[in-house]
Amino acid sequence: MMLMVIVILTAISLMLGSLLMYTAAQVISSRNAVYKEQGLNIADAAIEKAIWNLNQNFGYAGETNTSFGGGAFDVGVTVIDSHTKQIMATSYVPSKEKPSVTRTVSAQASISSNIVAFNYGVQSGNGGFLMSGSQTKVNGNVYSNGNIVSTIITGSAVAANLPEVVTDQENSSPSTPAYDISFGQSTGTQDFAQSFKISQSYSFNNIELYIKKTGSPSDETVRILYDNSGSPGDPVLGLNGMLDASKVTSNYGWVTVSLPVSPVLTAGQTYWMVIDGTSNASKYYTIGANDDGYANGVSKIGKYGGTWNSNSPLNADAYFKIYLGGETSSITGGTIGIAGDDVAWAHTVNSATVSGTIYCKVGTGNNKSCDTSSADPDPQALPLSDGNIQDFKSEALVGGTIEGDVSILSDTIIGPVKINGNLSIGGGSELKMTGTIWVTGNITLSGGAIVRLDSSYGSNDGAIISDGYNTLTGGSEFYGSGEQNSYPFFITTSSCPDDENCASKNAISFGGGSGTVGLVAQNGTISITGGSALKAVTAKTISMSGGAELFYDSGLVNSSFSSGPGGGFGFVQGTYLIIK
Amino acid sequence: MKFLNHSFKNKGFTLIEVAVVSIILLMVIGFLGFLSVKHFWIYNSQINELSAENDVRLSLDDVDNYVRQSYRVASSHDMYSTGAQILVLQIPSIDSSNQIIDSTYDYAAFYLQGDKLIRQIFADSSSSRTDLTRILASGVDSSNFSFTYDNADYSLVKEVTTSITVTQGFSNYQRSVTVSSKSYLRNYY
Repeated sequence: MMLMVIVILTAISLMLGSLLMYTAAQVISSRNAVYKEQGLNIADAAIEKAIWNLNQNFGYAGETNTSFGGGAFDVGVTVIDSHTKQIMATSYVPSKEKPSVTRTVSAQASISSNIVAFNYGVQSGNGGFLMSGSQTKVNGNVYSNGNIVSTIITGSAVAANLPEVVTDQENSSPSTPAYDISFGQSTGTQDFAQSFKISQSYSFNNIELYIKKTGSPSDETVRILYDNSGSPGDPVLGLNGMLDASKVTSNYGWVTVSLPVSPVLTAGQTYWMVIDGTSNASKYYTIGANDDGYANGVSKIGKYGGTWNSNSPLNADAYFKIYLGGETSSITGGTIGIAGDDVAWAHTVNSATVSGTIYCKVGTGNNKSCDTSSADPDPQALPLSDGNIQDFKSEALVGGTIEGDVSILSDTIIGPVKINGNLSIGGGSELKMTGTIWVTGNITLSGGAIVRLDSSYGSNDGAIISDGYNTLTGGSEFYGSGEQNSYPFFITTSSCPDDENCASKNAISFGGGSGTVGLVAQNGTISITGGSALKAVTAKTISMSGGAELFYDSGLVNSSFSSGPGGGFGFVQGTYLIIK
Repeated sequence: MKFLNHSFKNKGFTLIEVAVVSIILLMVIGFLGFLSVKHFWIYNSQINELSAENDVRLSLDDVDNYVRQSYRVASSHDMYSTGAQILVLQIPSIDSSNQIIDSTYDYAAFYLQGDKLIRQIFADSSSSRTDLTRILASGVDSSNFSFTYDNADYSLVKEVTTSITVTQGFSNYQRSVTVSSKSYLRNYY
């Protein structure tokens, strides 16, 4: 009996034991699986917390054995460069003292920065790159979406063709005009004007007018003028064409007026085309018109340089067409290149002495003949997008707004900030930037003004962005953070001098100075008149004169803009790594 | 003495006693046998379930770890093309110091081979990872195994959902576990 009891007890014990073993194995397995996932999530959370800590304390170096989420973690932070840090997070579950699971994750955090590709150190838009003065010199390459007039360029020069011709503006319906507007009969009505806006900042190809004549009037000058409070204002210098009287008949017909390719007008801005001539009661012109058929302008009649009046009907619009683009570009004059691989490349190259190959289709007066093996170069987009501009402005706004003009006459540290007015720096004082600055008005540097980036910029560039024109003269000095490849940039959205508010100023007038600076005016003109060291210069039109000499870092491709301390550390995507 | 002799002569079990004891013994043995068989069934079933759960968890953990580190879901690499039952991941390569190597990528392919879920690594020559093929799970039910993506264009995928059913054991002891998991590409940009 005893034996039987022992057998039964043994059997039951074995069964219970095996069940307990299974249960234990199940519990351990489940717990480890949960621990592994928990450990990874704790390590991820530690990375996020480290980034938060870096934003509170730039010098945060890590922490150890911090309890979190049913476990603990260590964080180590190492410096990669001045704006990038490596974060290593190790989690322990359930505790660091007796861990069942250990997971390690690493990632990088960086101060947010905008990378802008300046693929060409000197790049101009459709307005071209225009040099004058025999000693005016660029030490490096030049890329232009318009013509290049050269004196001395030590690298290559490339002038890309303008975009294909497009009909940008048109008023031509119905085919038989409802109204006839005659002009040139008397002094008070001797000239005709029609306002317009172009949609793209391309150079003129030509204008067509739907016009007829009475008698035999003389040729007329077609001028492009700025708007002055709803009437024709000052002329856009150099933008004139001729209405050839011999091509106009006594019946309506489309007559072409050719205009020069430069200067290039600003898209969206109001201009006037004025047909300017003499008056004679029996020799005059009549242009076809409709009533408010053109949404972007209106016609007027009067005298160029004198008084202008409305037509009848009040909103009469002349029949006209504006064609933009379509021209080929050219390089004219100068010495280009110092080595065999420095080339001149454009559809037309004239009067140039080039060290390397001249890629062109047409060329005269050069030191060698055209190599026609390459197609004409294509225009390249300018580096800053509207989004980049808005990013800069948003960064500046983080630091608040100063209302009114700011005049700096002693050493000052500011940024990020928006200045709702003008900014001037003078008297040898220094502006140290600790973040992006947005100036809604104009910027003036004079009297040995100094602009310097705070050391916290590290190897990044810093931006002063403005909506007005910049006058940088008087031996100004420009310095980065002290690290290599760090420079201040002056960026303006101004279209000056192509704007009635420009007071004949260029978007950026740069008289040279010490240190290195970047200049960007993609809607306007940059005028360089002094010896300058530039990281990059980009504008719709760039003009250099008076023996100005320009140096730039030809090897640089991208600029990394930093918002400075006002910006925050963020996870750098692409750097997440599960080590264990 | 007479009494003693009489007692000795009368020692033994009656037939009824033997029968009763035998019946009790048979009942106990039968009960123990039944208990043993049931226990054996339960034990094997649970062991198979445990094994299936382990395979499923390890598989999903492994897929999750690689997806998290991935830069892109690649449309194909080597002989593998991403689809409902094949996942090809493009992962930043790392050097011996666990630093990511710029613009250099390793590839990980997850696919079925029979009823086995395989992970195969194709490492770049500069990477500290090595070419490796590993069985993550056995007994994968191919009709209940899938990768699904948040975008039909694989180059835009940022989220991968893995569903897997693993069956372990045989006959009456067979057990299946089905689990689904969603993972995000943390290195997508």
